[in-house]
Amino acid sequence: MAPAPTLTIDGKPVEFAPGEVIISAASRAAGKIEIPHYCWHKRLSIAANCRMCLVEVEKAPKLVPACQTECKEGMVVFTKSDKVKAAQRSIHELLLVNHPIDCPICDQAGECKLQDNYMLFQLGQSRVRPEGKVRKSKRTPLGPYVMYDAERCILCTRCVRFMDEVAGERQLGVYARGDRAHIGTFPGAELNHPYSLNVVDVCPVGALTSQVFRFKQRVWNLKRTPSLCGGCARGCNIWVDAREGMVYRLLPRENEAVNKSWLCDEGRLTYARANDSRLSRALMRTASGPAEPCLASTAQKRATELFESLLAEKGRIGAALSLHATNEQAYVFGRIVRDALHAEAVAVLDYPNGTADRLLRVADKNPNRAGVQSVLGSLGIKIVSSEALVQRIESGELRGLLVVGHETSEAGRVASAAAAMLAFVHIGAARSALAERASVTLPSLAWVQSEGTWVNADGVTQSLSPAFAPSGEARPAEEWLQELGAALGLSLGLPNVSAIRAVLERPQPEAR
Amino acid sequence: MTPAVLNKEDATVTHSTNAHAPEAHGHQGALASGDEARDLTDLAADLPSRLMEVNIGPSHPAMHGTVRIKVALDGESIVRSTTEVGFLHRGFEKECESVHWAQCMPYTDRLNYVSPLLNNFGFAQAVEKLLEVEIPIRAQYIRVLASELSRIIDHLVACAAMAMELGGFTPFLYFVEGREFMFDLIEELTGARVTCNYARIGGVAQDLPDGFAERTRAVLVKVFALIDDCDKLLTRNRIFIDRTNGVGKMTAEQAIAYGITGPFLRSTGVAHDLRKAHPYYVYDRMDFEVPVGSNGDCYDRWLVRMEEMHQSRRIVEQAFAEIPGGPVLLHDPRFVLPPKSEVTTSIEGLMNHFKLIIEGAQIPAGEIYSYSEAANGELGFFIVSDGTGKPYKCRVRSPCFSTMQAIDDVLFPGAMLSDVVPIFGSINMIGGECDR
Repeated sequence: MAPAPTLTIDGKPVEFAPGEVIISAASRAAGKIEIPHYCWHKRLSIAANCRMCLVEVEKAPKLVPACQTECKEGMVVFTKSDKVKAAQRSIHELLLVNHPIDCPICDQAGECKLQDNYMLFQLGQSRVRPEGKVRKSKRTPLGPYVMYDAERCILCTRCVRFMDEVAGERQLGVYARGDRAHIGTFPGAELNHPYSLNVVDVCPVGALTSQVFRFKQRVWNLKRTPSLCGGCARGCNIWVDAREGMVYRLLPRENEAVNKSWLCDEGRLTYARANDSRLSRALMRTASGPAEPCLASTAQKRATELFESLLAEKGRIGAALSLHATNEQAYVFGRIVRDALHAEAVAVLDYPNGTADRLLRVADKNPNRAGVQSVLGSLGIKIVSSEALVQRIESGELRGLLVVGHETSEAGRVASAAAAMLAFVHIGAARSALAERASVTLPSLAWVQSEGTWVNADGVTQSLSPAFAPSGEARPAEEWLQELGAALGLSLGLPNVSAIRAVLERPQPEAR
Repeated sequence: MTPAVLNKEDATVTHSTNAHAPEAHGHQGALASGDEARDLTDLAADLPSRLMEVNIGPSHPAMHGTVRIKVALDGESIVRSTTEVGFLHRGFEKECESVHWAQCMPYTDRLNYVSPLLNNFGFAQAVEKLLEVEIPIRAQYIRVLASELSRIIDHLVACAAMAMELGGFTPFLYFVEGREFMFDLIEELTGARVTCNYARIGGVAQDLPDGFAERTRAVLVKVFALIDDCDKLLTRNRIFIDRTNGVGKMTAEQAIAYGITGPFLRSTGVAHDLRKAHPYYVYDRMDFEVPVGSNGDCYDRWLVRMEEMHQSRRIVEQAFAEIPGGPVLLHDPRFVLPPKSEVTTSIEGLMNHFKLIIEGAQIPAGEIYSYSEAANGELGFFIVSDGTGKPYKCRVRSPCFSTMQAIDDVLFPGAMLSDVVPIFGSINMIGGECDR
């Protein structure tokens, strides 16, 4: 095999693929050579309009843009020579010539490439007075979610290229010329594409910002945790930005195989679900009264008593699991339901199908259908439809019900049907209809607080990480389930998620 | 001569091996040692007895800044002493690791809280040394004269405390009044009497106010009038001399062995002053003398400090005479905040300010030891940077900490209980600096 072609960057040899540009090769060099850039993005076409990535190439008469110049065998590149540094200073100064003095009110502060590159590559004083700067329109909504500030825009056209090349719909364009150039939508149209918030990610400055996140938090106060989006079965990888038990936004986490660098707006906006009316205390309900907070230990005892009284006759207890459950939760649920509660009517509760597209979105709006079905199937549990479950409740055949998870559109229906039941136990994270109607509700964790795995529509198993700790008496559902099982005589002895994973990865024992 | 741990069960008194035996005071001191079979019928022999243990401090008027000294007494002579420091340990070094470089400055005020400017400058000097930058010449002059004003204040305190604890309340009040006058100057210059926070990495926070030189000279006239008065009251005072002369003697070899610097070392005869030996800022342009003692006792230390104040005044006068114009702070966007006018009128200034405040000045990775002559001796800062905005390590070499070592070994054993006061006063241990 012929050796891979190599060029030299700052004295380091770097192998490159044919057609690769210098800036891409540099990011793979040992010690990762950083070449400053604004308009280049590895997943978008090359524009070479910001000129920040100019580098010196031996034997070339002028500096060349590293994002546009293809690597050639034996090329020698310098990214830190005096000429390059002088160019970086000048170009950055030029980019800032009309830039508004907005940092205190700009959401991008703290994650702004202009700020970062100023300290690394410019460090100079301004030669423009504030009254000499060109004024343009500020805070212009381009659509329902995206806000545009023309003064901050450096016209790198990343947003235009994203909409054109990735989203597939050219909803943005550059209007006017020279000093008056700005980004805009077609007259009468707005930026309403289901992937519009990605332009906020690609924008290197504070020109495009999310209206949803606007002024909510300063980014350096947020703690970032890797996790997965639960909006559909794609399982896009995300970063959860949270602070003190509140999620403020979701950002895409790069995964070449699943979601590249993108997220759909629908999925991005599921962050709010995690903050909604989270339960931190157990609830109990007597006869026809409302659900009142109580000690978790009291609630647990009651739940055990309620189920115990029904165990004499098999098949009197039904169960349901939301498809937001992790594989580990599904396993523990399955074991308890099969071996402790001896339930025969087991259903999964889901959200209905929605829009799919050719990009990321999948019609199945539940993150772990594949995982839950696989785990319950391997335990030999036959899944009935939620219709059937509700029927059996309403007919009186089922006298007890265990519902784990509230993330379903059928919460209301199941809750109303089971409200009259005495032994209706719910383990959920929010004060949903189920929590209001159940006799006993044990508080569990929202998906952003959970550790576990989901299986996506392509069959890939991916992990969730907790973004913040539970509050009050909330605990993972698998812990409540195991304690319930233990109280009913079934001891699983799986103290944490890793132990459950270990069991899942073993070949399953035959159904008993 | 390692001090033995005080043993409560000590049934016999062991002979002190200290060279500075109390014979000089005409007192017999320790009993004969080690005779296992004592003849109890010998009426001339002393009765068997135990050492009396007295605890001095930590809360004690003479224990400046909390220190605990347990002394084992034979009559009035100290046979053994055990010093415990650390009551004012506040974790300065650890705190510095969790804040940005510039945010360490107010912490340094609280080190030697009697001469905070010297600490400010010491820290800034260390960071500037690591950056390999030189501060503007005007800033250097300002640092020199502010250091000397601070040194005068420190010595005023040391002399005041020593005098008061020996019973002379008047000199204490005179010295402290002098200190009050100096505080007015410092407040005018820095904005605070004690928590000055005046140095910046790259210079000083603000320039000298208009007319500062005139006011300083006027204040120094008043202060030195007070110093002269106290000098007349004490320096040839029979009682003062009796209590300090020959007390707490230390030889030059001992002082060097313990790493002692500053007035304490110079009182033993070693003419070592960092301002002369390794000059920094513009000290090499200054004409001044370094007072050196000969006996290494408390009286010499008193004289050295009194004379050093006069020499500091000389330096201040020269600094005012020679100070040039110019900026007092470097203009270097890597680690100096830009002028406010730039911050509010340019995006570059604003971004610069933002990044320095949020992330801290990114000092290049490396380590350096930097030293300066503080009032008590060599104040050193050993700083290690890992290239981020926060120090990786900021170690303070405290001058009075070295001196404190010598208490148990050299200074106290053999001395009388009443000598504790002048000896400890002449050490000038400042709790904040010793314990950090």
